[in-house]
Amino acid sequence: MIDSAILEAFFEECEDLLVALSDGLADMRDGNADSETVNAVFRSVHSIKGAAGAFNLDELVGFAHTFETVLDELRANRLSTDDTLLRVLQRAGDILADLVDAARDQVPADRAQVDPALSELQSFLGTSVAEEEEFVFEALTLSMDGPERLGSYLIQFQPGRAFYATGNDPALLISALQDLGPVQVHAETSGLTDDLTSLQWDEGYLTWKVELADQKNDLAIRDVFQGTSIFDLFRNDEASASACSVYWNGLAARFLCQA
Amino acid sequence: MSAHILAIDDSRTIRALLTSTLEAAGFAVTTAVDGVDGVEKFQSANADLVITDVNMPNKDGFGVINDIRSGAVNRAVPVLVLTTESGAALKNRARQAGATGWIVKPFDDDALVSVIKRLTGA
Repeated sequence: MIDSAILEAFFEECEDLLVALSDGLADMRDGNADSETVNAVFRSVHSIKGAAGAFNLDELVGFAHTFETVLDELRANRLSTDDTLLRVLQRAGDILADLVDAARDQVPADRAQVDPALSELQSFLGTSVAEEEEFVFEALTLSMDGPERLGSYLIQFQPGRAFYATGNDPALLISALQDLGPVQVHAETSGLTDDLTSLQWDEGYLTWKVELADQKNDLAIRDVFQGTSIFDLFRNDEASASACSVYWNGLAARFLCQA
Repeated sequence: MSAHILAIDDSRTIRALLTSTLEAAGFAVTTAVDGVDGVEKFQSANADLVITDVNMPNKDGFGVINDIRSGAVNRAVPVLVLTTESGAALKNRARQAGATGWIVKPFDDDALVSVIKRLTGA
């Protein structure tokens, strides 16, 4: 449910951002297109887009995204501020303001005005804009004969320096696994030495082995280590990776995961 | 005691949305308006988790993460980056800086709360 007070605050913020956008574009027209000015213009559009998305204002988000992309190309010096671009940016600023008004008044946008401005912006992007790669984590898929049946998993992971350096805690992972079913937890301490003074405070020396019973499949386990669809736990590179091994009834499925 | 979240974003709308969502879930929330404000408040906030935008004036999200990870206090706090961007290059940059995770706007309230609870043990 949309909070009406926050929505109203959003439109008030848009007014301020549109003023900043207009001021920035005016400076650019006057010959002042330094990085600070271009960044300020970019952030105005970026902020409108970011907040509009929270209220499902799709027409506004869509136009702002293209507008923002052109500005990003400009601030990366892949575009230059010639008269044509400045004219297009000015028009885009006007259209963005119209789209904010339409969203506030809950009326459809005037596509007869929006679409030409959108096409003009897109003409600066051409076909060379690289596709952004989504960060994708893939686990090995187990092939199972027959219907799913309950089994026990042995999960083994050894947190490394990068794991701790990014604010993670193995206790929280183990707690999350405990929420999935009966567990037995064992800490392998062979990585420790008798000389405590040689240990680094930010290094990991323990290997955790968690036996988790009564699981239909590995999906919930992957979720503990991978996170939700909108949240990526960062994956360490191979050199510093904390390899996570999961065994299902004797079959091995190895996850290279952040834990 | 409820976990304390420091939310850094130059958009007052996003700050309001985060505060509303997180306080409703029982978290205590401190907000900051940009990276400089965020780092200053981090020194005294004793935050259990930090959420930061990327594109901000004065100091961006990467600067915030760098300052936290190289600071004298609470340097191992979980830090989530909250942004509309999802490119691999930017994620790698955040990872290199020391971010714990990446959340794409618009965020799902329940998913955000679930992740924060997991990271803070709340």
